[in-house]
Amino acid sequence: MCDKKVKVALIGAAGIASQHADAIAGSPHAVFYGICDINRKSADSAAQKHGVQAFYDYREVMVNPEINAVVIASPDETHAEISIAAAEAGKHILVEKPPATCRKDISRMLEAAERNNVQIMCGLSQRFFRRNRAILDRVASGEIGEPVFARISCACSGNGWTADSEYLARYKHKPYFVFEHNGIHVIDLACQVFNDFPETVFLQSQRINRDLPIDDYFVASLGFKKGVAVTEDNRAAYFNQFPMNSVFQVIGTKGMISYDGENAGMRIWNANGTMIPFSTMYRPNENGLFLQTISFIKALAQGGKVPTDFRHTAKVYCVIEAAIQSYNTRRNEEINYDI
Amino acid sequence: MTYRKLKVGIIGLGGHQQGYGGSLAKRDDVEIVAIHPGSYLSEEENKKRLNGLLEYISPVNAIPVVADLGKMLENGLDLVSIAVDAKSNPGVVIKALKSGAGVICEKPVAVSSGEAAMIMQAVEETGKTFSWNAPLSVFGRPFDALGELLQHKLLTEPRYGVFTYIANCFMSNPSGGTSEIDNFGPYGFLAFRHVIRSELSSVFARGNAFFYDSYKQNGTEDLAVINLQFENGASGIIVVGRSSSVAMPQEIQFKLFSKDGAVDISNGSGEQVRFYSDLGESRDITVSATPMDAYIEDVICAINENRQPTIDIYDAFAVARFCELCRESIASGQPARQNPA
Repeated sequence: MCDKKVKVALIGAAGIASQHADAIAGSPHAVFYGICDINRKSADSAAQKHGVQAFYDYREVMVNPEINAVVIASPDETHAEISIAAAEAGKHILVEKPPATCRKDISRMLEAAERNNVQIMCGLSQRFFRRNRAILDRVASGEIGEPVFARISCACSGNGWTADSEYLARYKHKPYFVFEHNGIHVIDLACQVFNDFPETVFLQSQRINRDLPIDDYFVASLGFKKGVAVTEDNRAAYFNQFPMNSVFQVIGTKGMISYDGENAGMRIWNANGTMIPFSTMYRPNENGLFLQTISFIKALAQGGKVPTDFRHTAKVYCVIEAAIQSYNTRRNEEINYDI
Repeated sequence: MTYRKLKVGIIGLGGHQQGYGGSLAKRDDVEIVAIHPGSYLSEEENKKRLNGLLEYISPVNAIPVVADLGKMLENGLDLVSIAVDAKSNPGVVIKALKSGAGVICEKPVAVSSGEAAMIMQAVEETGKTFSWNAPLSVFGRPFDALGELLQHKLLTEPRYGVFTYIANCFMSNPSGGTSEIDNFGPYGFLAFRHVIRSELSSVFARGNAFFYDSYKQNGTEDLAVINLQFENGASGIIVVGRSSSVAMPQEIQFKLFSKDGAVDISNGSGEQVRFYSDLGESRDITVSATPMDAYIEDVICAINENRQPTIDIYDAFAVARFCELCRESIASGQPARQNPA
C-alpha cells in the first residue's frame, strides 16, 4: 500500500476553515503547506498559528507544483471557480458544502475533475458523526426492516453568522440562503436512510428571528418511492440553554431508531425492544468535520478513493435546487437528476 | 356561587366513555341519570361493555339503561356524553342539542366539514354548550402549562412548531373516517390552533399505509406527515400514525419556537414543559389536574355559565376542514389551500 504524505493547502481562513486547518494539522498523512485568503490579515493570522505559508490569491496555490491537494472553505459562490482551477492544476479537492450554487457549475466541476484525473469530494461532515453513522449502519443492516419514515433535524445554537444580521444582509436577494448553505446535510442523510433519492420535494420556511433579513428555519418534505422524510434546518434555536436539539429518527417496517439530541440520546425499538444507551453511541466532543478532513487526506495518502462520491453529492444538490424552486412556487416539485 | 346538580346522560358504551364518565361520576355537582347503549352490537357484547363502563361510573348504584334515545332526552338532561360511531354523530348530537342538553362528543365529531357545519348551526340556534374530546393537546399538563406561558406573555407570537403523535399499537380494522389523520391529526391541529390563534391557510400532506395490510385494504394511511401554513404566517409540521414496534412507547411531542423563546414538550402525556428564553430561563412548569378532569371542569363551568367551552364547535369545524384538506393534498400531491385563488 502506498502511504506517502499529502501536501495540502487550505483556501479560506475564516469561519469553518479554522476547523479544517486543525484537521489538516492533526492528520498524520498530511504536510500542511499553506493557507490562502484574500483577506491578508486572516491569512497571515491563520498561517502564523499553524506555522505555514500564507497565500493571498488562490491562483498562487494552483501554480505551486508541490501542493497535491486543496481544501476549499471559501464563500459558497466561489466554490466552483476555485475547484475547477484546482482540477485543472491537477490537485485533489475537498470542497465545503454546498459544492456550488447551481447545477451547471457542479457539472463543470465533475467534468474538470474527471478529465484531469483528480479526486473531488464535497464536505458533508454530518456523515462522519459517529451517531449518524451508527443510525445509518443499523438501518442498512435491516435491523428495523425497510425504512418508511425519517425525520432529521439539524439545529444550531445560533451563535456567529447565523444570528449576524449584517453578514446575512448580503444574501437578502436569496432569503433561502440558510437552506442553500446548510440544507444539503440533512437531505444527504435522508437519501442515505432510503438508499435512494426522493422523487418530489416541498419546502416550507419561517423567519423566527424577525430581526434577520432572511429566513432561519426550513422544513423539507421529501417523497421517496418507499416512504417520506422530513428534514429541518433550524438556525433560530439560540435561546439560552436550549439543547442543540438534533433529531434523527427512522421508522422502519419492523421497528424504530431514534436519536433525540441531548434529551434522550439514542434508542432503538425492534422486535425485541432493544434500547442502546446514549453513551455507547455518541461522544459529545467528537467532530465530524475533523474526521471527514482526516479521512479525505488518508484516502489520498493511501492511494484509495475519497470517502464521499461527488456524483452522489451532485444528485443531492439536485434536491436542493428543486426545493428552492418549491420555496418560490409553493408547490411540491418533481426533481430532475440530469447532471 | 352555588350551582345545582347537573343531570347527565351517557350515549354509547365504548371505552372512551370510561374516561368521560369516570371524570363526571366523581364530581359532586353531577349526577349520571341514564345510559343509552348507542348502537346495538349483540346482547353479550353490550352487556360486557356496560359492565365495563359501570365499573368506572357507578360501581355501587345501578344506572338505568334506556333503549329509547328520544325518551331519554325528554327527561330534561343538562349534558349528554356521546361516543357513537362518527357517521352517527351529527344526528345524535343535533337531537341532543335540540332537546336542551349540552353535549360532549367523542372525536371525530363529523366525517366532513359539511356535517360539522350542521352541528355548528344547531349549536348557534340552541345556544347550548358543545364540546368534543381531544383534551390532551389543550388540557394535558404540559400543554396547559404552555397556555400559561402564552397567557402571561412570556412566549409571544409562536412562529413554528413540530407535533408528533406516534402510537405503539394499531387498529385491526380501520374504516373510512378513522384514518390516522382523523384519529391523531386533531390533537396536533388543536395544539397548533390554540397557540397560533390564526386560521389555517394551506396544508401539504403525505400519507400512506406503510406497515399494515388492514390499512392498505381500507385505503387508509397508517402514517402521515403534514405541513401547515397559517394565515398569520406561522407554520409547522404534524407527524401522526402508528409505529411498527409494539415495544416502542407512545410518543407525543410538541416543540414550539417564537422569537423570544422555545418550548419543548418531550412527553405530551407527562407533566413537564421546558421553556427556554434569552433571559436564561429553563423552567419546568406543572399543573395539578389530569387532562380529562380539567376538560370536564371546563365543560361543566361552561354549562353553568351558559357559554361555549375552551374546545368548541368552531375547533371541531376547523379540524374537519383540516382533515379534508389533508386528504385533498394527498390525492393531488400538491398543497391544498383553504381558499383557492
